[in-house]
Amino acid sequence: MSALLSLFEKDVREHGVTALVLALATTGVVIVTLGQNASAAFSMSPFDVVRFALLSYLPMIALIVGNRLVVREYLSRTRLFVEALPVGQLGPLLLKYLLGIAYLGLLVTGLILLAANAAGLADDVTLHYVMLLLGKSLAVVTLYWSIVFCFSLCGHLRLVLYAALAGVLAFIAWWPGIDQSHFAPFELLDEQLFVYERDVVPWSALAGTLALAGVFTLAGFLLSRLGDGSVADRLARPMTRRDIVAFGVLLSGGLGVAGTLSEGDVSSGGAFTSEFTVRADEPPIAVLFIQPDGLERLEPCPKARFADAVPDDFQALTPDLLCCFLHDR
Amino acid sequence: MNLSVDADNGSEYGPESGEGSPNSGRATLRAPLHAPLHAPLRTPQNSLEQPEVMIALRDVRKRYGSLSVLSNLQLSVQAGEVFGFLGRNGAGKSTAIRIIMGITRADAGTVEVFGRSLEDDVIEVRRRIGYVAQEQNLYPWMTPRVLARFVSGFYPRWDAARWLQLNKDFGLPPKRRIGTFSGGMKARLALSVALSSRPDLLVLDEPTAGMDPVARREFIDLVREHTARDGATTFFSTHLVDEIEAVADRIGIIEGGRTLYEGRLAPLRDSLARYSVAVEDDVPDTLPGSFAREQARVLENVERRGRRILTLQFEHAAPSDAAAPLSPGWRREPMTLEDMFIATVATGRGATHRPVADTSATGDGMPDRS
Repeated sequence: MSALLSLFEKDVREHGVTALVLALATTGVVIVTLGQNASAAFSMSPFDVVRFALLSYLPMIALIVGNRLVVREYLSRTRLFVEALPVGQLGPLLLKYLLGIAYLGLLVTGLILLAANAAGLADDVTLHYVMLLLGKSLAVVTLYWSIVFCFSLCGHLRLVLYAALAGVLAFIAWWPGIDQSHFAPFELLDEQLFVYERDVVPWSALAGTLALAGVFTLAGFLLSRLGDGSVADRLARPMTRRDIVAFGVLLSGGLGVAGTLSEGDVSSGGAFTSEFTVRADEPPIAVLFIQPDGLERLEPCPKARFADAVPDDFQALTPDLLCCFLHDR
Repeated sequence: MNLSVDADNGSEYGPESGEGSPNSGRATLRAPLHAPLHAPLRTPQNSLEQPEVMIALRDVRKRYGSLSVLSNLQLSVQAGEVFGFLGRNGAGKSTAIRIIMGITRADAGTVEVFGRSLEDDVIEVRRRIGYVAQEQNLYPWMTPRVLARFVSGFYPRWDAARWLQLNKDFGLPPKRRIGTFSGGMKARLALSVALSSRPDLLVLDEPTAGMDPVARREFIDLVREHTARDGATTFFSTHLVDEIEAVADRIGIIEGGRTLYEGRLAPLRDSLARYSVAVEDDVPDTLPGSFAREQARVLENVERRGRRILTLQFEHAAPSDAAAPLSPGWRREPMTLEDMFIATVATGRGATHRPVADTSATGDGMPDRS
């Protein structure tokens, strides 16, 4: 136990200042943005402000944390020093994993609580809603960190992996016909701002995201032990000139593909987010279809009937926002 | 060539025996086969009792993909001795040490440290080992004082007073960043860390690699001084033979992942002799003196500056100058440990690995015994 405490103390001593600066800077930016938002004529929900901040900064913060906690240990080969100390093989790495996830989780929790504190009457904040947002955010943070953790063990190859991941994300986000809400992590990025959506706990998306995080985490730990750690060591060796050229070619190719995809971006219009809700992102509309009490259940099911009732172009629903009940034709 | 030496008299050594031994077909000396490969060392101080075996490796094998790094490695290190682990670069020394430290797992074979398997409790085993690596991968942002605070959490027997004393003795500034230290200073720092944990076993993995001669000498002196003072068992790996000669009680020579020799220095030195003869075209028909009839093997047959030089290995002690009158034209050359190491390794590679009696048949110009 004292060995792990020593490692913990060492990591805090080594990275504490950077971690503190990052946290303070992010919190400061969010507080300023929340203040500006509150005084603006047309303000967003504070949760939307925090969501935007997290989507923008969290990947970067996770990268910095991963670089300092894991990558540096491998590139500078100080891992070999720790490896020979009387401590278990997985202990030091597990500690780093937990430190990373705890730091990011605390940061996100703090920001969401800030948003909850700044929320007004119109936001209709309940404890359940805050817990829902926290749960979703922490699941996404776990996935972020698991990916960064796994890739950080890949030495210089991580740059290629990040580029490839960016390519996959661009593909999912921009390729016409792919509905990203079908992918677990993306589904959790939905802010669920509409009051009547807040009871919906996306269990399957939470489970999917955590499962994906588990896969990356497991892959990271397996990689760290592959060939008694020699594979991770080899990957951490400096890049050769050939590696750099190959990476450059890959990156420029990926950017070209991403550019092409973005040109072909077609808004998918509205989509059902639950059995009774249809949503569109642009303009931000959600329509709730409520089955009136006392009426016999309509056949076919409301979703199918609703789909029959609305035109293909969901934009046409805009004038019908106040409609909460569709009569039988 | 796998030899074992009974240190009591240093006169019995033989090929690795036992049926099914992978090396049994490569015996070089026709010596009594009853001597076990790794007979326990019997020093004058403890001849009546079996000393504790600190490290025992038996038939240890390790592969990385298609590359075989260790093949049937055998080693035995007794308590209280300084064991020199000799081998060329890439011979498998570091892999063997990583296996001893429990960092790397052997594919096959038995590894015991302090008489217990590493599988039992590798952490407890490591707590009793002081380790100085080939490269000092210390945290550059730390100062020696911070490093001591960090490392002390891992070793229950950490001796803070000794640490301070060693730092003072080694001339290490306690508040300077380690990143600014020279290679020699880092090695001394690593040695002071290793010694401050009050180890039962000190493992040094080529700690002087990359040091200048002065720093190397200083380091060796420190090792010699502290191992003598503490009586801790020391396992000293190096490819620099002179380092071993200065400190080791026994040596192990490894080549191609297997043990070529394990035992005291003296028997190895006594079993080898180098003779030279000035020749122009061919080697004379006779070997030097009466011992030409001995069962000897040619380890090396090279020509240097007009002299044919033969390095011979004898079944028993090689004849001394006084006891062995030399034939005209022959003279005995002095052999350093480095010469012996090179000759042994050359034999291990199978460079010149034939009995003297066989050499005439090869047509290589070597003398015939008859």
